[in-house]
Amino acid sequence: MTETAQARGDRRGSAARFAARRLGQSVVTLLLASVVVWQFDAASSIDPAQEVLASRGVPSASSAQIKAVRHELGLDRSEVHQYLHWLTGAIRGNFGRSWINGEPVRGELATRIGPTLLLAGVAVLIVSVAAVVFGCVSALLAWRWPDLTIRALTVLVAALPPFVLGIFLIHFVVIRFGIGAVITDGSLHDVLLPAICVAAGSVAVPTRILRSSMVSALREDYAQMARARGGRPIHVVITHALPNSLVPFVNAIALSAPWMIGGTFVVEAVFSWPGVGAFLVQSVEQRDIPVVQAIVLLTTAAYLVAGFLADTLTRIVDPRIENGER
Amino acid sequence: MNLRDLILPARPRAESVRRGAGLRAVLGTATGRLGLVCGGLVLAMIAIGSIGRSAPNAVAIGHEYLSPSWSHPLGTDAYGRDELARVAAGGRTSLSAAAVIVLIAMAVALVVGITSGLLGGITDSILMRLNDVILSMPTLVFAMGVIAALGPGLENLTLALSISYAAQFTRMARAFTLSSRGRADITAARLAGVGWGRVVAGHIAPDVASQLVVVSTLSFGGVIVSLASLSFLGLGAQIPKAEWGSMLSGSQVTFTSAPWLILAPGLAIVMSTLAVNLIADSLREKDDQRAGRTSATPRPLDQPGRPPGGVALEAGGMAITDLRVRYANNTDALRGITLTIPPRTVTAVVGESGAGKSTLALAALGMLPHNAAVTGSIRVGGHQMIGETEETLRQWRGTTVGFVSQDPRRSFDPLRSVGSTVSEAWLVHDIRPDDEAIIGPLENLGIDEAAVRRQLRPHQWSGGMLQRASVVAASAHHPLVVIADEPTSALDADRADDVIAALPETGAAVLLISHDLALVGRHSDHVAVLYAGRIVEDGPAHEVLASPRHPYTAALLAASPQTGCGLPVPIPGSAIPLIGDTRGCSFAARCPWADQTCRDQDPVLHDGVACWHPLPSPNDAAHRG
Repeated sequence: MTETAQARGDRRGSAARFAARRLGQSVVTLLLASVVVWQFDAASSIDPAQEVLASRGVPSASSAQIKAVRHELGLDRSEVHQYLHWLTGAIRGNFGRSWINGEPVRGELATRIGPTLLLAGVAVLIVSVAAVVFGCVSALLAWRWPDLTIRALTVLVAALPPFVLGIFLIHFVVIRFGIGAVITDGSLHDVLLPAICVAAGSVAVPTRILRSSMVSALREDYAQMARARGGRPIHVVITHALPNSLVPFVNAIALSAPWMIGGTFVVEAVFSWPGVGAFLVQSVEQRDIPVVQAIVLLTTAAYLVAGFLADTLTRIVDPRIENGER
Repeated sequence: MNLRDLILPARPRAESVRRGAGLRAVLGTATGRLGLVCGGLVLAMIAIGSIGRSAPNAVAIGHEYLSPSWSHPLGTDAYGRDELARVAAGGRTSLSAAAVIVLIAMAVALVVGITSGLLGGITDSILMRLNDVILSMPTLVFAMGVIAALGPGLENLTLALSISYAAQFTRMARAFTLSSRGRADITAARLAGVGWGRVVAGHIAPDVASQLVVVSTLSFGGVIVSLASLSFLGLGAQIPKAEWGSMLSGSQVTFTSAPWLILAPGLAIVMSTLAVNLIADSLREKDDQRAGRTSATPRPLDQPGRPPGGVALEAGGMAITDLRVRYANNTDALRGITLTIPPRTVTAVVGESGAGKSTLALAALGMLPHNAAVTGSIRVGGHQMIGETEETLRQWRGTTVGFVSQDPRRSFDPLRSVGSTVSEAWLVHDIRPDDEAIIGPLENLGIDEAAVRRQLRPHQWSGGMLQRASVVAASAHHPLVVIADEPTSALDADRADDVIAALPETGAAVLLISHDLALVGRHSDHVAVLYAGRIVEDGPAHEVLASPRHPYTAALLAASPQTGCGLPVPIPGSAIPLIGDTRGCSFAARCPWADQTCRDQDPVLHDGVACWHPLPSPNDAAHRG
């Protein structure tokens, strides 16, 4: 009795310690990343004061006006002070004002973050479901025609960059058959086609990793034992091979996260999806640095959270993994 | 020749082997060859479009939007420019930029990765922490940030992607350095006094570089797509420079009237990515294949033995008659086994590894691989198993034939509680067991607090306890036969007897497969000695083990530490490979009494022994002459 409780307690404790240490690492990385992001401003030879004045309708400003705006923006303070001011604001979700239209960055981001999360979420869902279905079929029928077909299909689709697939889908599906929309409104109704574009290229790797770890799990004694007890192949796959392959699978999904984030942003621009990515592309074109800084920092944070969740989940799913240094 | 050259081979051997293996993998697989064909097509297109065509930016008024024709194979664009020349120029732009990015990234990764890996300690921590910062920003997003700061253009994009890929390669270069550093030849050189500088320059750096080349091949597709994506968005190559991504974005509005302007650069990107992905895939395929694929077609057996019908024991037990199994690689695992396993007795099959014991267990479970050729008869409770459908065999497994496997620590799913694995024995046959059906038998076999313990995972159980849980699962449906394949080889000796003793108590006929003759002697009623896929001796356990008649049985007993007199005597030689036709007694090569008859003619099982010169039995007056 006590043995059980203690064993469970130990497991929970070690997972919690691991999570705390991993979280600490992520926070340090994010802080260092914020320094790099801050440097985007200094690296650009743009004078923010002139940009801001231009956005206020003052194309050729007097030196007094520039001085006043520089003071207003805190540009007359030290570099360190400016960075800390920006950072403390960013932590509270205040990323300053756009250089182009003078609006607070936060307000525009708030309306755009929902559609982006929707698009990325549906894309991850498509990747996961497709990879699990394909991976199970491939593992069950390894080296027979369904396996080979899935493999050829995923390799072929992986060669379609999101924006190329987007253009092809817009012209061959949307315009030809009137399915979906060219200009999307960011709602659930329009999400399918852009999400397919984001997901398509990312299905191959998780599928392959799931297949190969399931094929080796099926060769394990516990899977053979389940067969020897009269388990159907599908039962052995779902109750033994799949759970035992979850760790490499979750890690494969986490590894494809940066590729999918990039894909999401590009696809947003292709479909005019009213999300953060389209906003980023537009702001990069206009060199609206405060917006770019905010989005790059938020994206980095999101990616670090994804990595943290994947590692922690790995530990919870499989308690046998000892403190592995990443 | 100096000392270093004497100690170290001029090129590290591992490197050349790896490089050759990679090339063979690409050329030797269908995926790899297809990848090379795709890549070749793209390069050929670039070559054709680059030589003898008008300049990619040569505007021709009056030739706008021409459809593909002989003079313009890919048509012309909005300014009358030849599309083939532009796609080729775009390819040169993309491929050369990608090559520059990969080379810069590799150079940075080599320096930083090797420094970090060799110095270790605080330098390593700091460098890797900084590297993690770049890695924490998704490539495309980081590149957009850099372009926002420095302005759009192919040069700035190249810089941004180089930094991002350098971070990715650095992590790998460091890992390669760590493994290279531990290699035996490098340790030897260090011990011989060769300086670090020479070891690094002469051996570690080339070794790490050659591994990085493979990694960079795998990343090449990603680099091309990143370049094209950002140029498509107007952040990379600028008008009028020809680049696949920017050509695509410029031609979108005229898709309906001039689809070739989309298809040409679009397909060029897809083909290049496909080529790189296929080549990368072929490099990985080798690993998958090594993990196991046996797809040779089975060859039919030479002598298809007719299963004689109507063997006794219709009610219970198992009767195996003239069972032959040939695997797809033409190995004869079993060559005519006849064995009866009466109910409520323990029949042991003993023999060395490779004798066919495991094949016998798989055959009795109906779990031989599909590509194995099987003839003969296995009857259990009056039913013929050979030739039965997979679904019928599945229903029999666990209900008619139970199984206890070798290593209990591996035969329980590590992620599930022991109780859930045991209850699986019922669930897979669509029965929901009540708790008592599991707890009762477990406690009967001496597992205290089974109600609590069953919720624990297998790594929290001892091997002996797990194996008793296996027995409970195997006897869930009171099977006619329980097959136990080396059930105690992974257990402590004092646990083994409990487990074996529990088997016949289930009321089943037990087929005990073991190499432990002492254990077999204590528990079995009947012993069959398996050698090279045949039964060479067969009889009541006390007779066979006390006075063996086949020389092989005698040798086995002598080799066993418990049953032999004094020190164990190993059997000279090894079992012959069972491929193709064999002549004579298969033990002849290792038998001290073998003569010409033994080498020419195969002895048949007669009076419990298959030998031309059996050792005398105690109730046999005749003496070996």
